[in-house]
Amino acid sequence: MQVHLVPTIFGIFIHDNKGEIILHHVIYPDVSLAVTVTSKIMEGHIVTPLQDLLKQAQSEGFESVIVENQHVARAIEELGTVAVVIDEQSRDIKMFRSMLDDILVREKIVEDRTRVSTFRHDVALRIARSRISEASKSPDLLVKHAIDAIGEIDKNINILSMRLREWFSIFRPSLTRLVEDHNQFAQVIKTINKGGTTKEDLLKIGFADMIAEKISTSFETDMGAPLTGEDLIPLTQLADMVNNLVETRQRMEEYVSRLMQTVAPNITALVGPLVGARLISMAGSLLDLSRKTSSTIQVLGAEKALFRSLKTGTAPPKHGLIFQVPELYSAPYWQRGKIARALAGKISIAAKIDAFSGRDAGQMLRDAFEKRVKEIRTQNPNPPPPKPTASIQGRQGRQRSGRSRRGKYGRRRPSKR
Amino acid sequence: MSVLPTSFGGVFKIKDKDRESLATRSLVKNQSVYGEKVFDIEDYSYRLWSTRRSKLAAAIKKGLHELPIQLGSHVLYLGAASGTTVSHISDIVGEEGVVYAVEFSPISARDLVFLAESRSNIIPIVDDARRPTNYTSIVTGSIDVVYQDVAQPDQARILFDNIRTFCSLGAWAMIAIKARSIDSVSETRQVFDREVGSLQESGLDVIERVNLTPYERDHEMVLLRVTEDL
Repeated sequence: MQVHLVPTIFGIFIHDNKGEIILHHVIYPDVSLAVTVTSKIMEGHIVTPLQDLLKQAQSEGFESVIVENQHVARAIEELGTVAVVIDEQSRDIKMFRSMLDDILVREKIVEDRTRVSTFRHDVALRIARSRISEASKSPDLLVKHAIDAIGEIDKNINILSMRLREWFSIFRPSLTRLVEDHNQFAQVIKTINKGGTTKEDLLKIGFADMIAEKISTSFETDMGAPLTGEDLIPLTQLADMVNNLVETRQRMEEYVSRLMQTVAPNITALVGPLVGARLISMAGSLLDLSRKTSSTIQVLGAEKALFRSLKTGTAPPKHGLIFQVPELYSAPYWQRGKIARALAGKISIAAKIDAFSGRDAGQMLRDAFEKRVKEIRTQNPNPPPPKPTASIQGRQGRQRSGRSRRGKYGRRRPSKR
Repeated sequence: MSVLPTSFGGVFKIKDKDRESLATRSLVKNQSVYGEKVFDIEDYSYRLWSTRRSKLAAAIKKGLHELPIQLGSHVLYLGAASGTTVSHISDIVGEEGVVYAVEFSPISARDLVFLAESRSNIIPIVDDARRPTNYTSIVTGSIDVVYQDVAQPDQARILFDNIRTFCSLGAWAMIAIKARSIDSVSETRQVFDREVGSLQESGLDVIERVNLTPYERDHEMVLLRVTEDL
């Protein structure tokens, strides 16, 4: 005889095709047992209640049990006592499930409907909470937040430094041109506040001899308000803030590098910890990144250009975030598309290894990528000849009627994701 | 300020001077779930139901004729996110009803769990709506309405799989179709027709279609009914 096996949070039931319970193992009213049994079974593991029930089924002489979930089937298969059949659309099981709340009360397994509801609520809450805790353990969440924080710190450094430069230009307008580095600029301002405007003071902060000379003379000759008084104090405080942010960013970077070595060593070997971390953050998680096609990885971070291209027929983006990899940004424009494609392919392989096997293939991928870059360089040493249609007139035409142009190349559609 | 009933049980209109907004009578007194305004009128708390934050509210505002979600309904909600709309549905179905709220993202589900702690008729499920048999062990009893808002390219398929797993003849389904996550290029009209067509083919009857402009761009709410034995 074929019977149906239905694991629920209230208990595990075996019923026949008339919906009559033949065997059952009640879990109610033990909430924590219900949580562990349900989670274990759903992960394809064996639990004692299920084992006991199947032994009984075996001694009753049932040939096989029908279940509707593959994980449950896996658990039963592992046990090997009774043959198992998966039927995701079993009408008998569906019917049984939809009547289960009534059956529970009728068979006096649960006292009344209210208890059915409260028990279900309690168990579901506990399962949901444990699922969330489980997901929070994943270290790529830490990578995501740390790298996003670095991005935000960068934005803040830029905003505050711009303000600092503008503000200080009231006093000495030429300094902002002489010192390009934000961190150093902030340091100069702090030194000035302490009264240090000589060349020696500047050498102490680490300027090269010639630049220190230039800065210190500019203090004497520059136009602007006099360098004294309490008006410099707020600037110093701002400068302090910039220095601190730069320092925090540095530490954050070291942290991300260390994390990435353990979370995604192969991606790190291929593109470095920061670009790798940004890719993970943008995809959502390492697992999400590993499931993306290499063409998606190639344009990750260039969504705006990609959708513009899909909608209006402009040229699609060659690269997104991965542009930050030196091989790519230092390459001449006509090689970039090819290199980006090669790199994205390697990243996609690296992500899959990092997410699923953890094997060390980083150096191998890196070498393969570098070899391919060399090939691309030697095969395409010269820029392609300009296209005849890319004249000024043609350009204007494209902007005005992107839609009609598309007909020339056939309508391009995005592949279904 | 005054409260007026609408044609749907559990859904109210709150009139304040010349402003009129949707609201539900809160199951939990004085609880604001996502920062919405709460008014105490006579013996009850009413929570304003924003058309900008909830597609169901937008559909009602845009003239939905029939709402299968009623007092006592058993609702399977796919794509519950942090529980904004779920909280209002929980108000409508009341203590006798139940909302099974399925959300895959653990981050969004955190808020959902907080909400479910305060409302006994919300059953949170952190799982993939693509695999309905993964949560059959929690969802027992019959389902009257499947509500879906998942913004996935295969959302019609996901809806149908859940209906087939949980619903029998006469059950209802509501689906918020987001054209842009199905096809980013085609005309929205075409995308809607295609999705609705595929649902009809699988044996569902289309009762009503409501375009959600201007509250949501490129969205349509479709009300369906199971009229064939699936």
